[in-house]
Amino acid sequence: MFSSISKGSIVVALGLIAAVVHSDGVRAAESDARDSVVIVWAGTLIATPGHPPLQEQSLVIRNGVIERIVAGRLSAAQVTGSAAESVRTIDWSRMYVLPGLFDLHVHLTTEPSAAGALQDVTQTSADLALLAADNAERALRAGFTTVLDMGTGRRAHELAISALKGAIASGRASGPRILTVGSPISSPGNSRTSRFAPDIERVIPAQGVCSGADDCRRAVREQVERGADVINFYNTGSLLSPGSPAQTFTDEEMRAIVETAHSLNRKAVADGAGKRDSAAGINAAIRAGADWVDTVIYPDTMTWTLLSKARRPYAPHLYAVVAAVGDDEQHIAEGSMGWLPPAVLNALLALKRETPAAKAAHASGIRMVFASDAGVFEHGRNAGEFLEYVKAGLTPSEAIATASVNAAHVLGLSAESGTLEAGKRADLIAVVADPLQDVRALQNVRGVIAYGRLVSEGGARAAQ
Amino acid sequence: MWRRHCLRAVIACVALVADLAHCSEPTIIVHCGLLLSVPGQAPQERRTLLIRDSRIESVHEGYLDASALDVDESFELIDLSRQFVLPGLIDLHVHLTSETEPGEALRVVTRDAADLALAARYHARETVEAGFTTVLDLGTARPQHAEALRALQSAVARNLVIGPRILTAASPISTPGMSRTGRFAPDVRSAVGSDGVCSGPQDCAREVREQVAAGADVINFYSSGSLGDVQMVEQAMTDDEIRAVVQTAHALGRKVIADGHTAVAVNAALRAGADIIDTAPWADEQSFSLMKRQGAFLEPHLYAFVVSVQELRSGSVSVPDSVDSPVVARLRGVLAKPFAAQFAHERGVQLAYGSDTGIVHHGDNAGELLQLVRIGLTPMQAIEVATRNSAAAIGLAGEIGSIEGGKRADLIATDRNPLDNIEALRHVTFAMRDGHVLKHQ
Repeated sequence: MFSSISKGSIVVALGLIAAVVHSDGVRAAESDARDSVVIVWAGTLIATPGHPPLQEQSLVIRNGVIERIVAGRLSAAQVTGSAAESVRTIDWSRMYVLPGLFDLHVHLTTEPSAAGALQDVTQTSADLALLAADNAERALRAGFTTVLDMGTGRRAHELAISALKGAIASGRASGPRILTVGSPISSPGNSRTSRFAPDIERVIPAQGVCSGADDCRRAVREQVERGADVINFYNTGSLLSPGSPAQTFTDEEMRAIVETAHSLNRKAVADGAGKRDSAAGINAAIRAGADWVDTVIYPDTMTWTLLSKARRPYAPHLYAVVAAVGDDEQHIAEGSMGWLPPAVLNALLALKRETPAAKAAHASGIRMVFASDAGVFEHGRNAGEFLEYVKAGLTPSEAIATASVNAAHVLGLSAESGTLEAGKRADLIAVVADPLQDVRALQNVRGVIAYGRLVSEGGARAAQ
Repeated sequence: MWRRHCLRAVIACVALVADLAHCSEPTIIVHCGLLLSVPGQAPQERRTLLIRDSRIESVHEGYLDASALDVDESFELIDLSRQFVLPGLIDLHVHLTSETEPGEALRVVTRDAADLALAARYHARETVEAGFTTVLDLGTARPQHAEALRALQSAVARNLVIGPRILTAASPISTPGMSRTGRFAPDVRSAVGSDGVCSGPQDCAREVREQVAAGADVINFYSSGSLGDVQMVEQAMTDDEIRAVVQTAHALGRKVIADGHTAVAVNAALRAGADIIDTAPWADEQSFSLMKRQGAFLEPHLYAFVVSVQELRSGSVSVPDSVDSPVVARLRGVLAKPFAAQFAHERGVQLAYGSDTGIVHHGDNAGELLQLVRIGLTPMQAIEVATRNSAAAIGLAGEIGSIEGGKRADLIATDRNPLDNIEALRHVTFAMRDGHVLKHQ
């Protein structure tokens, strides 16, 4: 009939209102006059992982925030101040309730698929946004209420994640709180993106590439301008590139990256994954002040000392290789995976070495944060990482802390997330078995509440 | 992060093996309380549908179980024995990427394809949950919209998104100045872009090919100016250009929709062989006889006029919406008289179903059914328009529009009988597309 554009004098005014709604969408969506109150009856409450759980507690959630936690089963009548409130009671009295989980390493725009590098030249930001929306929903249903997308270095991926953040904030899509790095900061030749013919590279250049301290400051600022919540930088070469250097940025460049990130109130993570001699790159990143290091396959004698002295945590991802190829190293080398090119096969086998590294780090008292690398394997299976952490020597309670208190702390979000306490965001999950006995209980999350909004009820009937 | 590429290769081979094992869709048995299998024919009580590989395999009397149906594989039984079951509805006029809140002009220059794809994803779900299992998106001239829609179409096909089967017109064919994209500063306008614009028969033929190459399932063209212009151009394309558009589209196996408002534009499109006439508030007797003679369909989207006037949301890009806007006055003028579609129906012209969501709220697609009844169609005839007629209009009569052996398993259900009160179709309780249950209350 006619195109559906409206134009009018009120457009500007409405635009301003829309901008406000956009920036704080979840709250705005609930902002019709009355408060939204949710009462959760928790059978066993692991309010602060690392501390003993409490039995038979009630959490009162008002407008997405935990108002108070009291013993016993609170009824709606005991909570409401006025009749104008809508109160919903969730009965998780036969379940274990704990803080919503964090995953500090996901790739929402990525899926394990046969297309591989071809996707970089066929998929648009629109395709990636729709894929990411599906992946985000999977992550949330699996109990991950906050994820950090670690980027790929492609502009289309940046745009997709940024659009998805907006859609989730406005209530148009269901997903976890998404933090993003935009694109990782890397030096020329070390962006870990697939290589294409020169004319194609010009059309889809890797993002976040910089050389020299000043240029790297610019690159960090640009990512923040585009919406990065955290700065990710590639401090080592890639296992997959045989000639790549152990350290891909000079000490000065790394300092410039970290300092600029900090000056813009952003944390900086160093994403390792280098080959045999890459400890130099990892150690340099720690010295430069990185807030945590992600992937340490080949540490040297200095690595854990430096990390321990800097009081910085380490994010191992041990599960991705297990999810992709199974648990048995011999099987990879001689069995069905033997057809792989030697470089890829060696890279896969190298990934197995991160488990001993994680063991050593844990034994040295290094704090761990949870990072699954979902996207390499199917989103929603993130919790597989917990068992690998336990295999590396963490107690179940310590493993849960990596995805809650520790993760919130390293992101600077301890004041609002990571534990279940009055005044914090109501991000909580419920499982049927005791995760403090067996962390595999977290692979079957039944109930999810994200920012006070019920995502999955967990099979429990609402009391009213 | 670097791992993505190497592991993908590994996972791919595992996935291929898994795919071979589950290459067929699950078998489904549906018990229907009252089944309107072929709109136009009386509904039947107590029927059983057998669905295999996304299609209706057979329809049986009574409630049969797996053994009576010779089903020895695993299956799912869906009990709709207390429901009225009918074919999934078809809407040939949606704009999934468009919002119905004010501010669309600003969104044109602030939203990118990823934003639009996610908006369209949300609207697609609202649409299928309203019982519309096939839609034709008629597009806008904005390249970002076409890109978002193409992505959505493929995501629905992969079941990444809950939505209807999506057919698109890619971008509409129009002449310079007639693409209805809004008015922006010249440098902004060139960045916003305008797809589908052509001048001269050869150029318009090329543009049709471009849209087909971009994935258009149907070709849409603007034969008149827009209702939203103060000075509405009666005919926006020459007869030669219109013929070039229609002939090229037909040569490529695409049906053609002519979006035209005035009688001259409608009649020129009909003489050139257009398959569907869209809007046409001022179609005349000559239009009706041309439509009848050529078997063309009229898709009038009456409800959009009602909503435009009620909500003062005309969609105009040239005039701000207000009570005294000349565009709103023009729309009100259309509403003041009986709809042209009413005369068309009385003279035996075939109607097709379009709601113009984007003006109409997404998910309110069924509002048009009520308007069709208001102009004199029986509820059964209104349902025929939204099923069999619309399937035939786009050349998909063999695939969708009825629940018969061999057709796509697209079905919906309501608690109340819509033949008694068409309003029942505003409360769809069950929706299945291609054998996938997308809503079940």
